[in-house]
Amino acid sequence: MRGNLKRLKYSAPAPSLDIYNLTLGHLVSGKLATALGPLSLSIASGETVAIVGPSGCGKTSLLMALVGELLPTSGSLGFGGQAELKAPTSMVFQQNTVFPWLTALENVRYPLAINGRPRDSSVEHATHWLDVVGLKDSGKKYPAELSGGMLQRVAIARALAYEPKLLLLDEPFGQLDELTRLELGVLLAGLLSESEITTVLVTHSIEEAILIANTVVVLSGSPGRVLSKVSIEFQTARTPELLNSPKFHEYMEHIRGILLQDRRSRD
Amino acid sequence: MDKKVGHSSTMFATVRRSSVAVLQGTLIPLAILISWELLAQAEVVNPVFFPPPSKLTALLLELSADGTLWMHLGKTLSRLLPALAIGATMGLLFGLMLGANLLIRKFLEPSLLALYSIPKIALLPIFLATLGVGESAMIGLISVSVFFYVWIYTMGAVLRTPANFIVTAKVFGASRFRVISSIILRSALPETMSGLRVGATVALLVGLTSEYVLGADGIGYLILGSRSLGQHGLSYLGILIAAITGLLLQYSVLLFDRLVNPWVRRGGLLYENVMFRP
Repeated sequence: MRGNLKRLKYSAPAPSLDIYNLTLGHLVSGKLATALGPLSLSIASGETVAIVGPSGCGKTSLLMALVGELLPTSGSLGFGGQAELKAPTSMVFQQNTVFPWLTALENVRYPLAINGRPRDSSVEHATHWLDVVGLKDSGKKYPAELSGGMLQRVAIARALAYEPKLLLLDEPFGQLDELTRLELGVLLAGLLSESEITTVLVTHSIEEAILIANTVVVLSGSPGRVLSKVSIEFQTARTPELLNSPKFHEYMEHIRGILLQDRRSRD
Repeated sequence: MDKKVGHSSTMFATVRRSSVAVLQGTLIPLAILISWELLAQAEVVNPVFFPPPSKLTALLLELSADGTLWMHLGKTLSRLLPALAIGATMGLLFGLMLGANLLIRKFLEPSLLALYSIPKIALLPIFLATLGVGESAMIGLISVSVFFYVWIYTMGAVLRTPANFIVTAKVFGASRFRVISSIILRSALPETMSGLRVGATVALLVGLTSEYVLGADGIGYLILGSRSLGQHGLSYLGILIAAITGLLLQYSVLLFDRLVNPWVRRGGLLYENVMFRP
């Protein structure tokens, strides 16, 4: 019975996200301060959406609300027509969340292990994903023996090894150097273009957003509201060279312009 | 990688390094013993109150041969080891429970903290009254002493578990039990072991004291009971054995810690080199 349910869960399509009039708030010394919204946004199944906006506009709060860790103060969230998120979901944070007590391989195997996948098959699967992110030989190493960039690779491998239908990324490369950031962005863009995962990437890097996403949602300063939704289309694959293309620069200018205008209207 | 760091060093070098460490560690006790011997022989100190180590060694061999020593040591260990196991297990369970559940913490923490401050030996009469005069009372009292340290260290660590670790696991579909067993417990274990280290020594203290108070047997009786009978040699021997037991206990917990938390000592080689190498 349990096995059947699990199979159903895995074969379900990637959910679309329907965010309607959502507001999120925090209690600040007893008073409710609005962090985000009201915000309405639809994300189609399989779409890769980047959400950019200034610091403090509620981007992380939005992800926390999507996984049910933060309750909306008003409005609603829908996942493929359902009120509750049931599709397998993975999340990658800016801070290192690779568990230090597990080896790289055991970290990648973690979501499979807790969902009852047999050891042999999960080890094989995890090894494959470590290979995909270029860490084939580091499986037996503990996180303390890996660099920051390698740790984020492990986090991405772990997130994708779970075969999620929804992938939530919170500034996944925020603490990495420029080149590693670019390298991992290209890797992720490539992996996502081959998958049908619905992806929400939260970032304050416009460059990263354009490199990875199909749609960039621009949020205003706090409390965040949707300023614009920009479709990103490139004829070629997402490579580091893409950053030099005129079209990339056009997108950059466009999005930066929207953010600048919002900032000026607030001053 | 770097030879000086010692990761790629051969087994021979490892053995040599540990032998050097043992020698370094025994240098000071050895110097004290030698001075003691010389001072006692020259009668600078009163050899009745400070019998020279040579006499103590003879006494040690004698007691070891007739089994008295092993009887006392065996008695002490038969109380200490089960009490450590019980106290540590309860401490870990309570640490997890109080750390992971705010409501339980609100109900229990004030009472436990109040009990924590009481000198444990003062509770001995209560244990004697409830568990009877005998082994159970002593084991109970020692368990309680260990419990508090393991509990307080574990609870602190549980409360500091990075929230993002927990969210990551929950998003992957981990149940509440799984979050506790695979995230909170694992991240708290190194500090639980620190609690156990402190607790093990306190357990020895409480164990020896209650042995003396009850005047039964064990190393505690050997130290304090023989002193009141004027057998100073026996008392020093007891102190020496207590010290060695304490030392071995500490090393055993450290070894256990390395087995349970193999990841803690990984990496950080540079740090160790910079901070601790002369």
